[in-house]
Amino acid sequence: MKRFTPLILIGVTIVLPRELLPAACALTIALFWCVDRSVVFRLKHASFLIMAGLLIVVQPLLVGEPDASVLVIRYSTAALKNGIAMTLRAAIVMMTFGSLMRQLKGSSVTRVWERVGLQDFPSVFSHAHTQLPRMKSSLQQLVRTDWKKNCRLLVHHPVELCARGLVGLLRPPHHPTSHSHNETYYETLTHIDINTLDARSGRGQSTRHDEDVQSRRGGSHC
Amino acid sequence: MGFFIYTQSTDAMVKSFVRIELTQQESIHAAIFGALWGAIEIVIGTALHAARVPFRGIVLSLLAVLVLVCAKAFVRRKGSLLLIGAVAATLKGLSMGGFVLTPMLAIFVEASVAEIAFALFGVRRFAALIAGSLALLYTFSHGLLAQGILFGTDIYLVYFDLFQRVLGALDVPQMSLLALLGGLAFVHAALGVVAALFAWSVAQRAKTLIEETA
Repeated sequence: MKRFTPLILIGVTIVLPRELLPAACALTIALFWCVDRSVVFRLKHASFLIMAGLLIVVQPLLVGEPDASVLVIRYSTAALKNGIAMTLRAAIVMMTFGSLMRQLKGSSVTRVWERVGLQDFPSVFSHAHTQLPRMKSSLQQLVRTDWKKNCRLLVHHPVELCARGLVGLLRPPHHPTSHSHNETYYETLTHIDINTLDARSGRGQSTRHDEDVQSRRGGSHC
Repeated sequence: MGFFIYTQSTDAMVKSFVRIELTQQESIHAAIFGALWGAIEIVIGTALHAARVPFRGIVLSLLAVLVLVCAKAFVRRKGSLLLIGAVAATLKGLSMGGFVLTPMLAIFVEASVAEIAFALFGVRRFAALIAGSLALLYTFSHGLLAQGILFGTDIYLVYFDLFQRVLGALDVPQMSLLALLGGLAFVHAALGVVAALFAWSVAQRAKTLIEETA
């Protein structure tokens, strides 16, 4: 029952009449205060408070026909009620979604993917998980280090650069033409010589770059 | 073997409406593309988010189109993009110290629309263009959809009323709102087409390089 509570709450929130939203919101806060207080504290996030301020304070001044006033500032009561209802609805949805996501764990996500038909997910995910640190470090190096050279390469030979990067990723490490285990994707890219690419207008032929790479690989295996 | 729909029993259909089985080589490629997309979302997405770069969703979607189109060229099995999207979404979710629904949902929906395009039109350049434009169109509507879920459909009426007032104040005809939305959607779709064209060229060139060195 506990796992279905957030789904039931979201469903109820969508169909609930506007008049009942304050009571529903109070009940939801009380429920999550007892079950999981961290979900209630999500309402203190700046983005939610700013949006609530815009909907409750600014919106009635701009939207609808002004029919009431506070300190000579005229506002629309219908828009004010609408803004309050939207904010309360958002509060309930935020808390319930937060609770739902907190219940999720890695194993339960795997089960969800398997249930929708992705039977190979566990094996593919475990392989992807082992590849992730290598790719993260390579991307970080690519973004942070020597970005001027990378940008120049990307501007002049974007397809060639990306294709070679992709080949570097897909080629298995034990392949005779692949790089050593220690060599990263970033190094694969930075070893591309822009002058070689410029000189090679007709694609598909062996290049000096390829020979360089071959010789480097030979060196690394020795 | 391969992609098949369970029709043997209703129970099996309910349990799993589509089953994807990949060869070992396809599994490895799917894992690499999933990890690549996950790494892009984690490293570049987090950097863009921290720097509060505007239109960061478009940048990430363009990179996603690049990965999706290249992935489909190498793992042609139907449903493979769903698997890659699931891997990337889970990696993104795990990296945030707790699952956050919005980015995970966005990643999986992008993968799904691309998969639908390839399933309908086959693995060819035209399908890649459709996939790219659909993925970017989803990015265009993602913010509005998310706000609709959070605040309810009333938020659209508020936006519409606000737009009308702004246009009225600027003395601009009302049709301009539709023209503006249509123009923005067209720009997104065009960016998706360009990214898909580029990705298709990259995939073909990468295949040639692999064949040359094989």
